Amino acid sequence: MRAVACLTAAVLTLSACSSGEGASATPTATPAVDRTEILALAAATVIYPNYATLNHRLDDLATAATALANAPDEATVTAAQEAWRACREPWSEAAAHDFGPSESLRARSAIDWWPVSTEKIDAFIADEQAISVQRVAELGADVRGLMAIEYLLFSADGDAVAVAAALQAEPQRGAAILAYAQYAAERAEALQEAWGDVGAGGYTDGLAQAGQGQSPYEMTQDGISDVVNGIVHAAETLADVKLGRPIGLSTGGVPLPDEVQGGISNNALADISSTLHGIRLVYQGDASSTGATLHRLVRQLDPAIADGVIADLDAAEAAVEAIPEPLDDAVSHSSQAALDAFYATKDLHRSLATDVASLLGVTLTFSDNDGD
Amino acid sequence: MTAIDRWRETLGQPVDGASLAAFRILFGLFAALGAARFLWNGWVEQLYLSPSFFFTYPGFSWAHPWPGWGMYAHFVALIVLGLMIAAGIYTRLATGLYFVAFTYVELLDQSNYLNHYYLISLLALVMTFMPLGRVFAVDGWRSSDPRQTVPIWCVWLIRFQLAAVYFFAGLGKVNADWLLRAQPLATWLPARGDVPVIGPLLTLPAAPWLMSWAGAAFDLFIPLFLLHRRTRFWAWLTAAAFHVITGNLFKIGLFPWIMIAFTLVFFEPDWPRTLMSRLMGRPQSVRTLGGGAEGSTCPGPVMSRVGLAALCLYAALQIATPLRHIAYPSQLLWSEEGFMFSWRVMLVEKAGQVDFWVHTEDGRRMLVPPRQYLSPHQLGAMSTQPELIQALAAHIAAEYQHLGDVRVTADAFVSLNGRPRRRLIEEDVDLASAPTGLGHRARILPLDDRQK
Repeated sequence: MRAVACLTAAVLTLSACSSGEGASATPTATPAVDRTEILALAAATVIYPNYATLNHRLDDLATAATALANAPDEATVTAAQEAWRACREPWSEAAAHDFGPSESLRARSAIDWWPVSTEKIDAFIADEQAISVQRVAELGADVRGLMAIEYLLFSADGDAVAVAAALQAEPQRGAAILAYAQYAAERAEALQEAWGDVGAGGYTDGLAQAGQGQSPYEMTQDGISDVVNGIVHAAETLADVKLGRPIGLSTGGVPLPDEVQGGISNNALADISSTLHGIRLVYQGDASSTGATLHRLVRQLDPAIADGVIADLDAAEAAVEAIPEPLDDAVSHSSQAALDAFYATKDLHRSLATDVASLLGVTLTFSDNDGD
Repeated sequence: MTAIDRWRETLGQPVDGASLAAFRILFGLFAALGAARFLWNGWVEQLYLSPSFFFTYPGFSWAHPWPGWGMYAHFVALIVLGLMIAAGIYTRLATGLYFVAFTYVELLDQSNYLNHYYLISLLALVMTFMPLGRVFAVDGWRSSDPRQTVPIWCVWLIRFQLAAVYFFAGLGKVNADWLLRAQPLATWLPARGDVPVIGPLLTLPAAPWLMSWAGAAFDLFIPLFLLHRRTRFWAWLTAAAFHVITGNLFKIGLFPWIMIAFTLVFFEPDWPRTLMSRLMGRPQSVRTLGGGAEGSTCPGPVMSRVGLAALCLYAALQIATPLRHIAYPSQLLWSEEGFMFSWRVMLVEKAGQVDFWVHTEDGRRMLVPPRQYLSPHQLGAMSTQPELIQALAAHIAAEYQHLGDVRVTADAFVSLNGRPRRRLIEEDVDLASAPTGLGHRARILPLDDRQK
């Protein structure tokens, strides 16, 4: 027994004296950041409000599309374009929390698939059948959504008058924009309802109560894992797909400007910035946030890593901002700024996928298979 | 009589086969349950049918998943074989086929490696050479052979195998991360504050330290206490409690329950009969070679020389294999050279991120994200293991062969046990042409290299 007591005392002493690396085990006067609270706050103050905004803005787009379909002219085209851009902001932010109902409802294939097939869209419009939301629901993912609307609502030279003229000449185009917008709004409403406001019994509550009762998450850590994986995947997509591919990194330096998502509307860089903002919101909360966040938890465990992530986020945002508009022109001219933005987002991806994931014990994109 | 002869006689002595019969039944049931879980959870599709690329083991590149419904049929066969083993129907044949069928599945992809799968393969292998169909088995009821015994080497070989798992798991914990940084438990335990009752205790700063040291001591010494008659019962209860706790804290599948069940083999060979006697209130007799009670003076057969040699070779391999990492100059937890098949359980919290670059002879450089070749599960495994990174690099080189003689390099970063990420592999080394095999991979950077 004496040996056991000595061993216990030695271990407790070691525990009390530990410092530096492995600071997670270091006793501290600061109360531990509550992981359940992180999930509750992320769901209630970031994710649900984001989907509510998306739903609201897609409703606005549907309204603008109705006016456009009824009377296509420069004013209604411009109004619909502005409404479309307004939708892109919450949707691009939502890329940072693309899990739960977003997956089960296949929101991406309903609202924003990329790339779309312009041939199929033209064929859909040319079809003699009346265009309806019902028919849009039956279409493939690459024949509908926000990018299909972009194809019909914008012209590469930004000429709203030319777009209006095309809509006047071919009313089916306006009807398609309206049906696309109404279908996307329907799906966004379903998405918002599936998450549900706090106390509504939806996924927001399920995430906030991870590890308890009826939550879809068996453990709190499973919820943390989904949230961290969400921002990791968002950063990875930004680096590899949104920037790396158009720049031509996968083709040995041959730029692929057609791979720029949002190239026709010249909204690509705004989308990328919105996704970075979404990552920041999920990771750090908004500027007024005083509650538990992933960042505060990481800071408590390892301040250097926490500082590194924020520095990477800042650098990525600045690098994207430094790319001259439009992105497809920038990549076509082998812009160093675009390449810098790729490396900056890649650094962010690495920080989240390695430092943060390891520090929080999060398994990246792993199955529920047995361990050890 | 030589020492070898004495060993052959000792190891050939018959003992009650009841404990190994119980072991066989539990093994068969877990084998069937494990295969059923694969079907139920969709892992057959996820792990064997969806991936287009597999990390085969060196020398086993011929192993490919069955096409179409073949893999489903294979897992149904594993269930049937497991149930046959449990029931003792054509026991030796079923066990042998199970060994082949299960090991084939494990050989398909290194990214699926788990220590307890390896343990199941080893146990199935050795069980194939044991007379396990005599007791509590359909084979025994059908047979005219009255023996209810097994040679004692059978019992000791299973005990040895399980003791090796614990001991080397404990030896693996004697490292600075585990003992002096309490990692990775310092990462894992605070995340389990939601566990009923003990959750708040897990978030205490001392919890990972106590559990690290206690865990290492448990693994190192539990075999001794299980082997000692006076401490056996309490040791088994302790082991059961340990496994129940770890099974609830971490997602480690059937492993804890398997070990609780299998360690019953450390009890006396007649423990099932003793238990039944107590439960049923009447003694259960054992028929031996002559049909009398156990302890009969009837001499048992001696073990053959070949058998003894095979047993010694097997034991030597089981001791040498987990220690082979000593031959590598790299840090084991970082490089994972000598990590597999060495019972290093629960030792690392790793996260990695890898990008590949293809370099053509004309100076072009192409980014190749590994996601396009791998399933999420494979991606997670590959991202932290140099051997798998090199295997994928070789595959990518083959895929880009149409561009001529290409080089493939990797930007590989790994965070180990709470450390900030570090580069794992030299960034300019052509991994596609780097030496493969069991030798040290010199291009693995040391853990203490602070380069980001």
